[in-house]
Amino acid sequence: MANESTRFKIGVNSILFTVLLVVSLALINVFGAYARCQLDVTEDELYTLSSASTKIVKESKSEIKVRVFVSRKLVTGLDEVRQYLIDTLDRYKEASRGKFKWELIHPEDSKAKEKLAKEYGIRKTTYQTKQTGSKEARELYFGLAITYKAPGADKEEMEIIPNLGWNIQKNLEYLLTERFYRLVRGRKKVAIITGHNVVPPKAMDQLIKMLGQFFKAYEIVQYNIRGSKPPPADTQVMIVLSPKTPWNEADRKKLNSFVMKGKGVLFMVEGMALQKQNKQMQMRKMPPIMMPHNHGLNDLLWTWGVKIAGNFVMDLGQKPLLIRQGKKSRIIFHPALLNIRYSRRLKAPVTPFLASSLDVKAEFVSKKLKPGQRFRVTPILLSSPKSWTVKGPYMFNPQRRDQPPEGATRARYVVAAMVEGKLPSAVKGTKPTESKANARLVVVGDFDLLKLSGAVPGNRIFLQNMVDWLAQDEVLVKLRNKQMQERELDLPSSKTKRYLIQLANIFGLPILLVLFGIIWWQLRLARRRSAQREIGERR
Amino acid sequence: MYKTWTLYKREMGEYFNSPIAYIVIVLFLALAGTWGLSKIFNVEPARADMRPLFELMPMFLVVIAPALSMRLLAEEKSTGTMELLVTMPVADWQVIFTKFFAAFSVLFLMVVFTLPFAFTIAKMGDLDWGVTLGSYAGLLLMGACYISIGLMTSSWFKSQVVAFIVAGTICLVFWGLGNEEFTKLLPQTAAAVTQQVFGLDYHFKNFAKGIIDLRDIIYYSSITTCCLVLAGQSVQSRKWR
Repeated sequence: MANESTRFKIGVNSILFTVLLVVSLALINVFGAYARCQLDVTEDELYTLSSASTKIVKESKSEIKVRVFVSRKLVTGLDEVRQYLIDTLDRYKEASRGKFKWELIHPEDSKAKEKLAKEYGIRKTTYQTKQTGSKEARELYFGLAITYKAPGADKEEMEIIPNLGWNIQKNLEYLLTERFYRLVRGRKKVAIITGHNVVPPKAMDQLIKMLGQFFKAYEIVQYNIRGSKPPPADTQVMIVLSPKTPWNEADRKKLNSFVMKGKGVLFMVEGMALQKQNKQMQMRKMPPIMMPHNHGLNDLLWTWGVKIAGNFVMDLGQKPLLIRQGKKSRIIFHPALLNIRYSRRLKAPVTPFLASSLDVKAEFVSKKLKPGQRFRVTPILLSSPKSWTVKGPYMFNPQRRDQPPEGATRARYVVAAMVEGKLPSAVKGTKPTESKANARLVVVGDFDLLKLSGAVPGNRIFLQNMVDWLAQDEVLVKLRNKQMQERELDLPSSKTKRYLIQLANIFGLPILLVLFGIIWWQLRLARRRSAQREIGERR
Repeated sequence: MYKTWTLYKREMGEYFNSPIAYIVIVLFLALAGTWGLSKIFNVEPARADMRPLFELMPMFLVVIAPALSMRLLAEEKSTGTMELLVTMPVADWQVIFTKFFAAFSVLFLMVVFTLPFAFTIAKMGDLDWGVTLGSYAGLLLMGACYISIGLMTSSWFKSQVVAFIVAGTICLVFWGLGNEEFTKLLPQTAAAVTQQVFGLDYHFKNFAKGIIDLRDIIYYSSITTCCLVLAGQSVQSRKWR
């Protein structure tokens, strides 16, 4: 009887313990759901607000307000995207110390809310679920409006994203922070220097339109350096594009005085240029000839440690380039098309075309400023070790796959470099003799890089990063890189090699494991046999 | 501690002195390698990303973890060594934890053996090691859950096959309830709640993205603890049934 009661007690205890444990574990999970404790282990901290985002919301002088318009009923999968949006906005709020507020509005709840959405230009869009095999689609609201009223301003400034889309998990932080910058800090001016027949006026208008789309945080203006007016006072960055006619002393003086103010200049200048063909050459359909080109900038640039050589770089060590034009895409390969995979300093896969190499004064090249050094030069784009240079006159034939001539120096050539520091005045006898603040320059021996930026996303990112760095907004460079870095796999071009790598990975370790198993088994057998023998001998 | 270590060595010996561990590991590596790597290598443009592999591995674990754990207690019961084991001077919970850790060690080895895939990808591209290691951590936590479920069912039956089938079914249900494909038939709120409460795969998503969330760790630890305690209670039930 006593046994029975003990067993009953143990049984009850066991059941009670189990039930209590399950309940407490459930409670821990329920309460744990409220605790947001996350560790972002991604290399680029993709799920943590970057310093650019925290800085702009923290330092904002007025309140930044975000209104998210979202339907209650979403298509399957979109609720996860909405949750990501909510979490991100909460992170901004936490970082802002009360200067950032956001609210969630369901427009279908009332007519007033629907009217508000309409006022901001946010309308219903059809969303289709991304689930395979499902055709679930629904018209719904999923947009947001950002408003900001600067202190002393008459009206509110606003930025609208009418349709956030499915892919915001890739670039939401960039989408938001870039807009906050525009609203809070205003648009910095970027001037493109004209006056040297860089491109025909119509093409220049198109170029400015294209740049305006790339640089939404900046105001793109033209500045005629041959005119009598000085550059607009609030210009932060100047862009010098390959001039057709050489710069003269007066032009150089104007640019020098801009640099002396501690501002930024981007040079995209080629050392070789296509020569105009005469009628006879055109009749014979001869390929264009390239000749070294006098742009009149080298004296200026050499003072700052860089010079554009009168050549262009050919490279056989590059991968073919995939160019997307609308829905079509094509693969092209030419040694003059430098498909540089990665710019270390301004992370972007860049593709210069017919780019000149740069001569760099070794004494200024360093990663960090040495003691006593006033400025430094850092190469940022380099061709592969299979490169050589071509000097003019050179008949350029895009159909021909050039090979290096005998005796050509195969080396890595610098195609772009950045200069930073207290730059000396490049015009003798002028004051100040040194830039007031740290000035920044980027010299790229190529102009086609910019022309190709519409079709090559890497070039566009590189261009944006260069301008951000020159405008001392490198926080935006970091943010853009964080969102847009594409981690491509450099697979061997030979299919056989690719299969061999795959097979070695799939079967290499299993074969080793089986071999280990067989050896282990044989060892055990041997041990057993010797033990049996020993026992037999003892008997 | 010494007794636990002896028990652990015995369990590991059971795996590696018989072909079980080799078959399971080789099968897992071959399946993951063939399917996963072809999804990484044979797409255009190829990305230095282990995600395709981590999408498949949890699915394989649904079968492999119960296969690893099915014999843990069921075999002891069917061969009659269970009585011997429980009369040894070790507590029941020590037996359960040792068996769990032995099976988990094999699973750990199996998962670690996929690291050469990551090294190959890292050699050919810029692999995000943070995301990769986060995914491995998630996979191991999920594997621990599946092993504990297998151990729990193994404590219920004498037959290893029955234990395997029941454990496999439970794992499949838990995996399926975390997958949108399976919960899409439910109303939206019900689907969301089901995924969060029962979905083992749902809680793996954050790890696969490179986020280590305390909520997911608590969830996996709770399921593992719960199943291990249930297994322990099942062994202990001989004292009161």
